[in-house]
This record gives sequence, structure tokens and C-alpha cells, in this order.
Amino acid sequence: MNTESFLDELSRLYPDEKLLTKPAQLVTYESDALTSYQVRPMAVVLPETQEEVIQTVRLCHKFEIPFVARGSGTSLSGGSLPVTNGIVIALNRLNKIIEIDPKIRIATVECGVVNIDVSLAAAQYGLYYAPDPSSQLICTIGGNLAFNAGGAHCLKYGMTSNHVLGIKAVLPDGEVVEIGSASLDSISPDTVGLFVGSEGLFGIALEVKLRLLPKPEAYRTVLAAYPSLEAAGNAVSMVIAAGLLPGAIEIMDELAIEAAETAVQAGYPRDAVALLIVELDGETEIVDWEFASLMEVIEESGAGEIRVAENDEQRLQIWKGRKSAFSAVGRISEDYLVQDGVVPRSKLSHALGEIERLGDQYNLRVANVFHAGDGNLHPLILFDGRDPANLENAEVLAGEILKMCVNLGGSITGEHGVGVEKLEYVPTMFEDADIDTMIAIRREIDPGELANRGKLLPFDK
Amino acid sequence: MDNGYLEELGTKIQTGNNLLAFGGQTKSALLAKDGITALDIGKISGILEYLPDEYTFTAYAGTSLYTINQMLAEHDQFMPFDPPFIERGGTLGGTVASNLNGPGRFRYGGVRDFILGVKYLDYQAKLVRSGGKVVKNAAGFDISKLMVGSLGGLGAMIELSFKVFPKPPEYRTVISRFSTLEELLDTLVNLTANSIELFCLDIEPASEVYNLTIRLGGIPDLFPKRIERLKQFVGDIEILEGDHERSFWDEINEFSWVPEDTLLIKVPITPSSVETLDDFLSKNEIQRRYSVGANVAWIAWSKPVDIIDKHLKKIKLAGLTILGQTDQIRLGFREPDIFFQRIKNALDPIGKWVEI
Ligand SMILES: Cc1cc2nc3c(=O)[nH]c(=O)nc-3n(C[C@H](O)[C@H](O)[C@H](O)COP(=O)(O)OP(=O)(O)OC[C@H]3O[C@@H](n4cnc5c(N)ncnc54)[C@H](O)[C@@H]3O)c2cc1C
Repeated sequence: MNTESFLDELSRLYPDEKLLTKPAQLVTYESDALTSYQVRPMAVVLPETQEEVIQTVRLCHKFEIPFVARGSGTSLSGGSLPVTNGIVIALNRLNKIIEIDPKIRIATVECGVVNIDVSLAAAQYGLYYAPDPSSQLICTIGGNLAFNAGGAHCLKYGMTSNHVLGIKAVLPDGEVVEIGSASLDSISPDTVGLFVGSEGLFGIALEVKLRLLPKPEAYRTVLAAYPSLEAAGNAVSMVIAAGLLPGAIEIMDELAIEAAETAVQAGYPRDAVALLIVELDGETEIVDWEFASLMEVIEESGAGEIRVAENDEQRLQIWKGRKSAFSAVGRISEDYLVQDGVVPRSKLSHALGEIERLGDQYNLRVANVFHAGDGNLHPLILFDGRDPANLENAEVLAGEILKMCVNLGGSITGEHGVGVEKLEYVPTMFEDADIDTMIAIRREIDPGELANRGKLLPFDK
Repeated sequence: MDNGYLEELGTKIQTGNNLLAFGGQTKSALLAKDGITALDIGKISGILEYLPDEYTFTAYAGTSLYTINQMLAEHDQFMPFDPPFIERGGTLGGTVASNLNGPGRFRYGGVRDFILGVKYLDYQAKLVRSGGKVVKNAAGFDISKLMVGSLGGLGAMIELSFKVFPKPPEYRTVISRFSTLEELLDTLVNLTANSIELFCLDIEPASEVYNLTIRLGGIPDLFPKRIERLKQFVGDIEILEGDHERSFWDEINEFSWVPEDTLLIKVPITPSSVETLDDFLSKNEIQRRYSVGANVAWIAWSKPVDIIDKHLKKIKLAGLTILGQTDQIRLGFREPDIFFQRIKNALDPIGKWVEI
């Protein structure tokens, strides 16, 4: 590795303002949304074209310099954490929406396009992009693809993976490949499905073909308050047992409600111990019919206050509190860790009880907001970052929660990815043979382990 | 399944070459090859876990689709990708390996969208697991999706986990006729930009006309109003319901319309490429259907196979022969797939499995 020659060649590729090497310039890139981890990279580049990205990766390959792709840096698991002696390739400026084809309902976009912008561009055709992580106002399609991001509507609509049809990528050795196609069907092994969720280990996705859906013509959003998390959890089981398939089923606990209220004044009932949000969407006739059955279920479920959004404004108000819950919690505690383990839906009540018990045991406050329809928990562990022992305690608690999820038959991550933060827990979910297979794939694609080194796989360099 | 059989398969994997796993042997073109070591996965069958409240099940790969359907129906659930060849004896593993979806895929997605996890025997006969059993999971590389369309060339799938959905209580089918494909496609595009929930959206070329067949699912009381609305898009219609409606789609999904002595070829398309393909097929008087909103063509090819191979190359489409006897399984346009080759090298470094 010859750093000087590398930087020298890099500076021929980028003008000064797009090649950052001064400590003050690098600070912003030292961590992602998992702020308790920080690493200063050797340099950050700000490419504006796909060709610049390709040339950069080729240079990294030539000089064996590790690189980390970065979208908006909203990863909650340290996915875009830099590598010491490596560079960060910041992709926000690759933000062209190349084409929206309403006939085949596909958007072709560059990786730095912000999630919400796809739906905004597709709206003129009555179409939208379904995956809606709460960070959708800032996170990028490249970051979504790398992490197989989810959101509130996964039960019915699936995750990012279910909406990506094609990828143009530069592999870690600089080779440019195109996989997938514009058709919904295929006659080859699903390499697109493998690429999505690979956490940047297969190189950089430059351009992505996204499936668009017709915008639902009707929504019915119901907010119900419960005296306990268990009661809200039981209501979820009742909704599912009624054969309904809502677009979203979300729960927030007391602490999360309090935080959201303080931050954005969503108007949630203050005395609720748990809030359930259920949203039906689709064709008007069907939604109206389902709404009637949903209300029967909710009324029988022991809910206190029940609110139904009467218009778009009220609907958005309900979602505002939920979608800002993470940042809201950030206001009541500067430091927090978010976990996103998954448990079978029927074990939600049990898992939440365990989280409460563990929180008491470790003497840490835990707020819960989660995708109840998918069994995807989001315990937010609040701690005091000025005290290293407190952080360590929080990390141990987070680990205990992950192990519990696996023991209950679930997963260590539903949508935020392994990153660096959950590396240690990969072996709780997978056997040696499973991990060896992933390592074999990694080594074949990237023998030098240059792309996003130290993430996802526990035995990287 | 007894472990003895897994061991037997393991020995075959270790000692054999040109390995090919198969299940119900329903996709004839994808089977018979000289010099292969066949691994009969059809013998590994049975449901391992079904959790209706979770919308998930796990079954051995050799489990018949029929068994799974029966099991799901008891809880008013279904496999939304609408797998074909149920009556012919298709298995879950075969469906994944050949990535076969029925017309019902239109509503919620295909095999790839519902598979949650896989356990398979790799080239060293080691049992490898990927994915999970819960409806949402982002841990590790998603090898289960890679298995979709792998045609038995990446490993022998043993166990599969799937997500399922509640089944609509009833269906209605609406058929409307168009004198040209172009006219039909205009309507199709309008319809698909609308939020009317369609389960199937198929194009059936008939003599002199093109039929657009639309399947709606849901509550019977709502059908009249919904069908009225559909009429605004498609004009005059014929409506099917009850047993007649069911058998209409069952026959399509069993491919009973494909004559014995022809090849059944699958070609992925889009509403933008279907017309060019149809020009060629209609001139050659070939029986065909375009399914999933014109995303896949099913072709009953009765002429020498190199004719369609050449033409597909010319119009840059690729096909896969599913039924019939031929050496040419892959047809048409194919670019070297560098990314896949590397994955294949990783999963099959000593070239144990058949070329796909
Ligand atoms: C307030 C808040 C709410 C959130 N809510 C959700 C939610 O509801 N659902 C959810 O799933 N996530 C959520 N997240 C997590 C995060 O937003 C997602 O993981 C998102 O996908 C990251 O996108 P990004 O552009 O910020 O990517 P980054 O954080 O910059 O990068 C994420 C990963 O992707 C890689 N990467 C980025 N671009 C590319 C590319 N072009 N090619 C290859 N690899 C690339 C990076 O190397 C890194 O490993 C939330 C985060 C925050 C802060």
C-alpha cells in the first residue's frame, strides 16, 4: 500500500473541493447514525459521476486501499463507518433520476437519489416507490439497497429487495456489471436478490432499477391507545387472525410516545401506555370494507381511546409522531442505541416483557417503537455517552436482546443490517458452514476485502 | 425424512459429478441429461412447521405443492406466487429452482418475494443455511433468493421457509376482447397505473383477437361495483365465476393448453417488448400467452428450436425451455454474467454441479 502515490493519483481524478483530506473536513464522515463508533478515514471523495466512482474504485484496487461507500450516513449499525487508512466514497451527488417509465412502471435512478425523491418524481404518473424507511427524507437508494431497508409497510409490500429489479455496480476490482432486468420475471439465479442486503461488500451500486406501484387511492389509518404493551400486542394478533392484511401495523410504548409528543406534538393520547397504529391502503371499496372489520376487531381489543384519521392531514399527523420517534428519543437522551431484532409476531408480548426485565436488570431506560406486523422490534436503549461504563452496559444489554430474538426463532436484524455493531452476534444466528459460505462468496468477489472491510462478516481482515 | 437418506445424498455428492437435484420431475426439459448424477429430492418431503398466525411455513424441498396448498387452505391462506404444476405433482424445491410463478404473481410478487430461508447441501455435502423463518430478516447474504432460478446448479435444497398471505374468499374473472395487441396494451398500461387490485392480468391471443383476462379477488358483495369500474377501462366484458372460473385458471396454471409434442418456453418480457415478440409468434402461428401484466411469455413452440433461438437473439430476449425434449434449454440472447460466474465459483469451486 503506497498511500502517497494513491492520494496523488486521486488528486488527479478530483479537484480540491471534491477530495477532502484535512481533519476538519473529515469530521462529518467519521461516523454514521451510530455515533458511538468513530473512525477517521484517510480521505473522503465526493464524486459526481458514475465514471468518477468507477475510476476511484479502480485506484483503490490498484493500491489496495479499502473503501467505504456512503449514502447519507443514516445507518444505525455502523455500516458506513470509515476504515482506518481507507477512504470514504460519498455518493450523495450521484443523484440523477435517469428515467421514470410509466409503461413498465420502473424508475431508473442513481444510487445517491434520496428515497422520497423517487416517489415525488413518480407521482405525476400516479405511481410511487413503496419502501418507506422512517429516514426516507434523507437516506439514499444506495444505502437502502445495501441494507435491504424496510419501513412501516413491509408486511404487505416487502422490503427493498422486493422492489429492486436491476443493478449496475462496480465490483471491488473495478469491473462494472449489470444484473437483473426490467422484467418482473427471470430465468437466471436471482443475483439481484443476493446483491441487495450485502451491506456494501460487493462493491458500489451505481444505478438501480426500481419497481413502482400505483399509489393507493384510499387509506384508513387508525390510532388506538392501550393500557399495556401486552394489550396492544394482543390486538395485533387479533387483526391478523381476522384475515386482514394492513399496509402497516406499528406500536409505540410510553417512553416513545412521550418523546414523540415532546418533539413534534403529534397529539397522541398522553395517558396511553401503548399506542397501536394500523393503516389499511389500496382500492377504495376494499379498504372501506376492511376498515369496518378492523374497527370491530379494535373495539373488541380493549382499546381506550380510538382515533381514525379523517383526512390526509390527520393521517400524516399520526405518522409524524411515529416516523420521528428515533430523533425524538434523541431529545430525551443524547445517546441511544437502536436494536432491530425480529421475533415471531406471536412472541412479541413475551419479547417486550423480557426487554423490560433486562432494562431493569441493567438499570437502563428502553423506549420501544416497532413494526409489530413484522415482529420487528426497535428497542432504543438510552445511555449516557460521557460514561464509558454506561455505554458498555448498553451494548451488553443490546446483545442480550439480540440473543433473545434468536432464541425465540427470529433474527438479529430486520432492516438495519449487521454493520459493525452486530458482528459479534452473527454466530448466534448462523453455523460455521453458513458463515464460511458467505466468506467464500466475499473472497471470490473481493479477495482483498477492500469494499466495506470489517462489516457484516465476523472474520473479515 | 430419515437422516440415512441425507447421508446417501451426501455420498452421491462426494463421489458423483455433474450433480443435478430434482423433485417431482414435472419440468421435463430441465431434467433428462446424459451423464448426470441425479439427486432425488422428491423423497425428502413433509411439512416441518406451519404457523398460520405468523404467515409462515417451513417444509422439506420435496414436499408437493398440492400438500402445501391443502394445508394452507385449511387456514384460508395461500402461496401468493401461485405456483404452477400443482396437479402434475410439482414440488416446492422444483418451483424455487426453476423460478416458476403463476398468473397470480401479479398481485403480490413471485417466489423471490416470498422465500424466507433455505437449507441446502453444498458441493461438500455440508448443510448450509441462509435467511430465516420470520417474515422479516436482513442478516447475512441472501442466498435463499439466489436459489430462485438456480436450476439445481448451486446445491441441493433440502428445506425451505416461506411467507404466505390470507387468501381472498372469492374470485371473479373478467374477459375483454381487443382487435389488436397495441390497443390491448394501452388499456393494460392505464389499468396498471390505477390502484384497482388485480390478482391476474393475462393476455391470451386467440384467432383474430387478443383477450385481456383479469382476475379480481375479494369479498363477493364488492364485485359488482368493482367490475363496473373495470368496465370503464376495458369496455364490454364476459364474466366468469364459481367452479368455471376456478378451473379456467387452474388449467392455465397446469399448462393444459400446451400440446404434448411441443416445447414450453418461458421468456421474460415487459409491456414494451411484448409486441415485437408477438409479431414473430403470430406470423408463425404459435400458441402463446403473456402473463403477469405482460412480464412473461409462455410459448408452445412446435417448430425447430433454432428458429426461435435465432429470433430471440435478434430481438435481445432470452428464453428457458420448461417442458418437452430438447438439448437446447437456454435460448436467445445471453451475455456473459461475470457476477454470477464469481458466485458460482464461490459456491461450487470444484465444478460439482451441472452447468446452468
Ligand atoms: C431516524 C432514522 C430512522 C430510520 N428508520 C429506518 C427504517 O424505518 N427502516 C430502515 O430499514 N432503516 C431505517 N434507518 C436506517 C437507515 O436510514 C437505513 O439503513 C438506510 O438504508 C441507510 O441509507 P443511507 O443512504 O443513509 O446509507 P449509509 O448509512 O450512508 O450507508 C448504509 C450502508 O450502505 C452502504 N452503501 C451506501 N451506498 C451504497 C452504494 N451505492 N452501493 C453499495 N453500498 C452502499 C454503506 O457502505 C453502508 O454499509 C433509520 C435511520 C435513522 C437515522
